[in-house]
Amino acid sequence: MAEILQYIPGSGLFHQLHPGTKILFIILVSIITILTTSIAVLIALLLVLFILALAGHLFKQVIQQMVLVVFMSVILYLITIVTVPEGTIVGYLIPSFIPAIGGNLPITIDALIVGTVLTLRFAILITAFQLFVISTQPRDLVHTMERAHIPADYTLMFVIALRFIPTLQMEGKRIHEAQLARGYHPGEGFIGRIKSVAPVMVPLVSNSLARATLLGLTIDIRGYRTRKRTSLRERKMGMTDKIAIPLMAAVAIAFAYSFVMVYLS
Amino acid sequence: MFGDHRRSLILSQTAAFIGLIVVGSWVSIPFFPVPLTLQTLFVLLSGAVMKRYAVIPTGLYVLFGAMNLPVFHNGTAGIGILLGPTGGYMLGFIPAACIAGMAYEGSGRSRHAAGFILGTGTIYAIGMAWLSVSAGLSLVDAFIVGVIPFVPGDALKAYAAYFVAERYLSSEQGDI
Repeated sequence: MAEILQYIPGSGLFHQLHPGTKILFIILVSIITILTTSIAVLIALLLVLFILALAGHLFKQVIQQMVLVVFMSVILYLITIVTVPEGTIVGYLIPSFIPAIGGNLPITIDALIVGTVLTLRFAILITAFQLFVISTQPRDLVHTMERAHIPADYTLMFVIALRFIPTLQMEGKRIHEAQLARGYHPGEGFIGRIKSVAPVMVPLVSNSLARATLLGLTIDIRGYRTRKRTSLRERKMGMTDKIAIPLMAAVAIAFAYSFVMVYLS
Repeated sequence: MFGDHRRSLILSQTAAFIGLIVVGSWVSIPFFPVPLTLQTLFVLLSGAVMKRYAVIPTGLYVLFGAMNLPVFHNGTAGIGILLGPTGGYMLGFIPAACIAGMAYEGSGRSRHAAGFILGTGTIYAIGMAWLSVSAGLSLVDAFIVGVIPFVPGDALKAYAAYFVAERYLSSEQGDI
């Protein structure tokens, strides 16, 4: 998991969009997904996302992500079946032919509906974010954060943290190996794994903090916050953005209208 | 110093702690009755080292997760996880780090230990409340499912955090 921002180069629909437009897109999709409880709307939204992924040549990556969704949906269904015991019973989680514990944990239609809504919501959110992450370069994301007037401190923290994660992971492994080479034998199995934590954690924390202190000094000494910063590359809004933003505004207005209408009636 | 050294130190320590929390959430140690991740260990430690500024790394960690970087337990991510049954624990990290940080602004062993215990308690309280809301459980059920199995592991982690923090702070001769 060394690659944390899995950017995939390409030139599809999503690669052409400005990161700001894509963030608007995600916000719109998230709001619709969280507010609506209609299964039809959710399925339609998921299909739209799949069509967009197809248009953006990112279909394969999105489908790969679906494995996680299927796995999570099993858990979501189990949780709702256990927690929603009221309603029409269609079956039992533990078949009734098993002696003693059979016939427990009823599966109700309500639970299945709630489970389906939760699964669809999960699938939509995962897909939308996946489309965003694999089509956006970290560089563009940082520029967008700057343009949105997020303080430079926070964008810098974002970039440094992204850079730190694989380094710290490597460092943890290295310290573990170093301790093993010094004859440290944590023992096997359950207790051994717990015992092996302390001799790795103490050096890992103090090393990474020493690194952070050094980095802080370096940032300071190189004159951070002393003059105006400029960037080499900037991403401009293109034709696709100018079409996409009014379209999304129209969808947002239509959804808000229908939501208010349903709410009032 | 030349510019604002304190500020750049907070900046780089924030980055380091986000990294540590992320790495800690990828490591899963088998323990009874539920596997341990090291997230809360580093959340509490960030409070001990960065004092009340520890809200920055924990807040950004949650934000990163919401932005779909695979930073949550076992490499999961996204708003879906935050809104799911276990999202409350993640949100609880932010006040927990702040509480541990405020405890470490003063001195005294019992004060530090109390900060860690209160911090862990905050994570439980918010996690349990969110679990009961999102999964439709009663608070008692949420307590049985979402708090009791984690107590032995978290007690161990809080003790480890206390141990590492005391060692780190005693070896560090003040700020530069």
